[in-house]
Amino acid sequence: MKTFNYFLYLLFILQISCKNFLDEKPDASLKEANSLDDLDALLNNTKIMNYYSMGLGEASADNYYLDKSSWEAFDQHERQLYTWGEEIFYQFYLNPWLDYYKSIYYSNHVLAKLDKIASEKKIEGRAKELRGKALFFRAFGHYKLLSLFSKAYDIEASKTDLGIPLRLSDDFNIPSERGTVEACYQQILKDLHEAEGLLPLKSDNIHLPSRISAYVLLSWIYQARTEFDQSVLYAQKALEIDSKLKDYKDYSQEARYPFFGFDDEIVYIVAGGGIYNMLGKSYCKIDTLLYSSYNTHDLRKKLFFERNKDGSYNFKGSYVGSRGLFMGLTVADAYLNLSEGLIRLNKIEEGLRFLEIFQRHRYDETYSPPLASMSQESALKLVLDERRKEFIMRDSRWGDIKRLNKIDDGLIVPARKLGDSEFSLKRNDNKYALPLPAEIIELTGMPQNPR
Amino acid sequence: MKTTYLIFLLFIFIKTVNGQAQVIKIKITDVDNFNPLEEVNVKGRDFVAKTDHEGSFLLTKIDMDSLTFTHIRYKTVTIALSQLLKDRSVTLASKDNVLEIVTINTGYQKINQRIASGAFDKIDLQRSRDVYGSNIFQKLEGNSPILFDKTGDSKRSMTIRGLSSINNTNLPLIVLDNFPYEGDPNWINPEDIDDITILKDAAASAIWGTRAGNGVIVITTKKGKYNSPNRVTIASGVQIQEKPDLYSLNRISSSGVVDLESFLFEQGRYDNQNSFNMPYLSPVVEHLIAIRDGIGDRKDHEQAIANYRKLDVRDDYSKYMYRTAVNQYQNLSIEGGSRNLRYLFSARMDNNTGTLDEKLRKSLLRSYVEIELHPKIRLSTDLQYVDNKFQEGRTAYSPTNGRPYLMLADKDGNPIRHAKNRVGYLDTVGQGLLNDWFEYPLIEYKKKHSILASNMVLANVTGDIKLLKGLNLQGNYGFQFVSTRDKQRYDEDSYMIRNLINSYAMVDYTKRTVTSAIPTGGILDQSDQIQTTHNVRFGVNYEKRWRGLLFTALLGTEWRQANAESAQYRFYGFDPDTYTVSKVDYRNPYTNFIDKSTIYVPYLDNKSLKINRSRSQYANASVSYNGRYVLTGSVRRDASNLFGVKTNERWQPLWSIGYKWNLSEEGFFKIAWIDALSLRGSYGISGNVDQSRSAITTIRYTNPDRYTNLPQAIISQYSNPDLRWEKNTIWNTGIDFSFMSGKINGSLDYYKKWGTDLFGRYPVDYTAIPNKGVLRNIAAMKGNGFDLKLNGNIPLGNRVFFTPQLMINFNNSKVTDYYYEGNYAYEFLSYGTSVTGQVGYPVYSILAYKWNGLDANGNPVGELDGERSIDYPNIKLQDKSVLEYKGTVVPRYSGYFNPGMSLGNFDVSASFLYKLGHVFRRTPVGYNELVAMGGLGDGSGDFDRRWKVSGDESKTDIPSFIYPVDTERSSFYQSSSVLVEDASHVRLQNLSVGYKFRINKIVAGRLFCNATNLGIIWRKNNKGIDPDYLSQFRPKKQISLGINLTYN
Repeated sequence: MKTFNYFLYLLFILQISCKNFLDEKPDASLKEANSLDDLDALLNNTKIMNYYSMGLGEASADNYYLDKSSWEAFDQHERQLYTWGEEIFYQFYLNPWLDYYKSIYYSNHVLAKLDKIASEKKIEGRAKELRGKALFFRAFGHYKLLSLFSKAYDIEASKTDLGIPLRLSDDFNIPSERGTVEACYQQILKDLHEAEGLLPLKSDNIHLPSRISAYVLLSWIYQARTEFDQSVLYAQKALEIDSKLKDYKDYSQEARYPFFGFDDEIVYIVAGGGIYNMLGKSYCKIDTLLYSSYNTHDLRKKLFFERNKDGSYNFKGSYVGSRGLFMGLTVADAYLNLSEGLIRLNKIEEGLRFLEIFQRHRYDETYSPPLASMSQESALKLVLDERRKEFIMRDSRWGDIKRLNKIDDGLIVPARKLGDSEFSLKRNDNKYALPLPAEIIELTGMPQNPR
Repeated sequence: MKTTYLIFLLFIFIKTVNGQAQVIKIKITDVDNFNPLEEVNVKGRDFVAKTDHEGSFLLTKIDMDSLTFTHIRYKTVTIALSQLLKDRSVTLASKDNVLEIVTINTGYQKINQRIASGAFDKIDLQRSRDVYGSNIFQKLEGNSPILFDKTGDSKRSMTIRGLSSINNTNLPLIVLDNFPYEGDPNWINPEDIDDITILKDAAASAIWGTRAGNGVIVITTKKGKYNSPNRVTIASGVQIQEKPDLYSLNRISSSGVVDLESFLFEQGRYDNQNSFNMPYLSPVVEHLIAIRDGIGDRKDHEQAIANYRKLDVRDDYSKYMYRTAVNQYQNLSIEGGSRNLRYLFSARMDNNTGTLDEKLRKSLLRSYVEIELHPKIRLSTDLQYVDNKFQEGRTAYSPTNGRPYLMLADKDGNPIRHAKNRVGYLDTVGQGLLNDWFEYPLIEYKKKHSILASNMVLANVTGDIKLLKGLNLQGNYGFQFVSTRDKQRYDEDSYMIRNLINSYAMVDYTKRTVTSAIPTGGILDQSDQIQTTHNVRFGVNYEKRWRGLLFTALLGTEWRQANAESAQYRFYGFDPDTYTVSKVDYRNPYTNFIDKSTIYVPYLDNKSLKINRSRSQYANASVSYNGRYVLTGSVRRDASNLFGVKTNERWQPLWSIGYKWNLSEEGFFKIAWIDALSLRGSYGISGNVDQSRSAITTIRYTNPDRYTNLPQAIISQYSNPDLRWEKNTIWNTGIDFSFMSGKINGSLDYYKKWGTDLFGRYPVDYTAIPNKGVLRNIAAMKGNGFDLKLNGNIPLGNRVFFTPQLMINFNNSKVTDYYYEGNYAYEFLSYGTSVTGQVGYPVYSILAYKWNGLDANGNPVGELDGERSIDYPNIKLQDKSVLEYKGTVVPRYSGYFNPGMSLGNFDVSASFLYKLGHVFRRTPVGYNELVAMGGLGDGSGDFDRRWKVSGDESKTDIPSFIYPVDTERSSFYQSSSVLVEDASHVRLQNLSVGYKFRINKIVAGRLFCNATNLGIIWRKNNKGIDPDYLSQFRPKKQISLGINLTYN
């Protein structure tokens, strides 16, 4: 019996454990985001928040063309993308849907953690600014998605047209559902209007949002909604903070990449983490008519393009100093949005005045300003032509085609020619709303865009 | 209580004294270690007896001339009764070539096999002693129930009883002496191994808890023996292996590549080469361009192209890179023991030179000392030290690496330059101010010095105290320290550095100067890793005998901590003579010299620290009655420092129960030719853990952002609070038998396994969570199978024995639950190379499109709605039920047949390995990859044999080549059943001959020769493919010679 008692004593001793033994982190770099520094670090991840997306809008738009032999060499999904085909699919590693929603998820995670911190102590100062940044990032992502995957804004139809799934929480158990286009805009505007009050006027680090970037974005969004007075208002607010443009006379036309360095004019940077093959230098040829529309005084003609051996032209490179597309926001955006808005509001003279300031930074010294006494129609044509020339390889042309086809009579019919085959998109075609990734439709049961 | 004991003891004493008048107690022991021997059959005239657990039997009759003693594992002796009455003891010598089945070591305790209810497999190490092994696993292939897979899937490279998990590892746990061993298996000295036992079912492995779901391999080292003279053993061996057969892959011919390039050139594929980054064009294309543009003599160009057709770079690799490999080792061990001390010291040196002239030098040192400090206290220390140095050799041939006609050397053996950009461009770029921008693959390896140096210290301290009668306290401490340093040094004139300097070069053409962000001099890439593991275990053993009952219990607790700290760094401008380095600017952007893109100086520094901690508590008990009926049970619970899990949710309980019935011990069992027969069964649950998971969303800081230099973090894991450990339930029933005095013995087991809560990748809406899928416990599988093991030891004459061994392992498993949404056929295709996860099918199975041959235009024909069709987009959108299930890639039957023979001092043995009942998919030609001049490896040879002209469809199954490539058509072909072949085969794994000799009373030895990888002797497929080495060079045979000498 004694033996058995010993056995029991030992049993007891052996069960005593060190309480904290298992509380050690399995990986020193593993961490829960629970301080403002951690949240800042997440939003500072430029790979996630700034450098992503492949230029799906640009690839779908009409600024370029491909030779048949180049087109044939591509994978099927890129071939289909070029011809607005029936079966566009996105490979996992270059999937714009994933890219945009990833930045939105990061924003939501930061917002959720901020709420948790707020329940412990009052949010102020830096935390407020963080909230502003996260809201801006989220709104930017949602807006870009909306312009790719939904139809153009229409005051009536937007109450029923399919928008994109809005993600407002990092809880992935909440199912994704497509709201209406109008509902999406309302949420995006709500986020931005809240962010505008929380963000600093300007940021030294253009990878981070600031009030000026929020204003420029607002001017785009209101323009897309055809609320030109609002668009004008926010463009003006942006210019009040900073109105400095890049003067193209200062840039070398000989340089392979004339633009480099995140200097004047850029207020917020988003740029391609990579690009589709079809936008690559060897294949992507600039639309001939578009190229010839740049007149000889236009400095962009030499700064943007270079001649290929076969006589066609290719795009040299963007503001990021490489082939990667620049898809961010600039002061020039504010000028052009403001000018278009004013002209549409019949303040033609004022609109042209802003256009002139802009043009002085894009043309050489022999430039002569447009006549102030122009008709509204020709002034509008002037500013729209300028937009097209300025926003090349900016991933925004696709949105403009949709928008302008909706509100103006001037028909834009993007067309592709491959040998004897021709492809084109008629006005307000269903295909302007690009298809959602097929696996997302399958997993969530959300309706697909009709082709 | 005490009084009762006294009375009880007195009673026994009186009984013994009384008995002494009629009977004589005789004890039988082992000649080597004086251990008492149970189960010895004693026979005389009209007398039969068996020894008990103390090795004794009672001699009740003395009117005989002699008694005969037989035992399965010992040599039969007959002793005159007069002698017996004088000695009152008998010693038996163990038989050669027969498995010694005495105790089973589970890593926690040694159990007498008679009362072990689990499915154990003791490896006959004698049988594979002649196999040259610098790694113990080389000795287990064809000699154990472990199935080795060579296809390169690390999750199932070594499996026991098929698969237990779908997405988690299927590798068994390796235990060295007392503790899990996580070092390099190459660092266990095969000469030091005493025993390897494989634990296959729950009763055997549940004691190892959450890490034992895939089975356990328990390795026990030699430790010397008490009361034995000093013994010195010297062993030495040498092995050679021929160069690999580079031509054994189905690779496209040079001529085929030239044809293809010429065709693509005509199609205008290389027309759009206006890109300023001057992408590489092959010499054939350059000649074609020259012909097109009328540069030079057309005839010369055509001649040059024709020459390329005849070249094959494999000739050069064979000639300049590969050589015959030579491995050798020497081993010295000294062992012995006195009454209260035993020891073993060993030292081993390995010196290997591989087929690429890579060199490995390995030294293993070990010292084991065990002291009996007091009759009740034993203490042992086991120290091991390993010094391992590996030096990389020449460049290996990789068929995917460039055009097959690009040779390494010209006729005189001078290196040929290879380009990464257009040759004409590289020749003139930088006006001669830059470094040479060509690569010379023939000599590049001479400029890279790669050395991997590792050291390991292993220390085990064990203390054993007999507290009271039947109660032992045991404490173990295990320490493992592994340090690894990987150094890769590049010379200044290596391509890697020349290219780097050029890419970052800034040229001033007027001053004719070059500066680069990369300093001149070499580069040293170094990575260091230090792993430290501590294991502490306390346990109590309790043993109680009462009448015929034997109760044993084991109880213990364990702590474990494994740290892994690593660092990686690069030194620019490294000078190996002075050990000086240069400074670089990581912060500012530079411009790529060729494409003018923005680049930063490559920054490779990194540091990490990982800490795994776990705690376990376990108990294990067994009750047996008269050695006939045995009941066992075990419980264990484990917890680890899984991040973000509350302590009380960490613990995972696991258990097992088992029984054994030694039928042949029963009084009614009277079948003379059956020596032993027992039945056993078990049921239990073990687990499979993945420590890297976290229950909450975690972030990880990465190096500061390259644009902003601000601290940045990524979300490293998304919250997954419901993730649990995988569970494996095993039910096992088996019989052990021995017939005709041990001439035939073996076991048969039948088992069922259920894997539940298995990890499965659950596709998620990446709108909601930016991840391809999350891991959830959504999968389940079940399997069954049997293991049959038969060993023979049949005397054929004086000193001639035939010793065949047969093992049949059958395993059948299928997925019973998995998440896989989808309806279309193409979503369910599988090639067996990755997890199929199809409910109702094996984990790795092949599902393919129905194949209807080629049509008159060389198009592959499938089936659409029951009709022949080439409408590929619609074929793939059919319902998944149209797919044909072709089988699993995991063998259903596997095992070996090892005949052996000993003729006096000679012995001969062979090992035939077989794998049956599975399939494989031939690597198909990929036209999409070929036109991009990728996919030039295995399978690309089919390009030469493709459909070319009408009528070929009756001769070939390989579709015509069309351009532009129709991706749908290609993927239909690549997923069709025509590529699937039966993988069944039998190979001759080993052949050995040995000769044992004795020089004098002191020195004895053995000389042996072995050949391994002797190739396939039968295969089901008629394509000549070795299914074990798909898309790999066929291994060449290895021949070794060795000698052992023992000084007693």
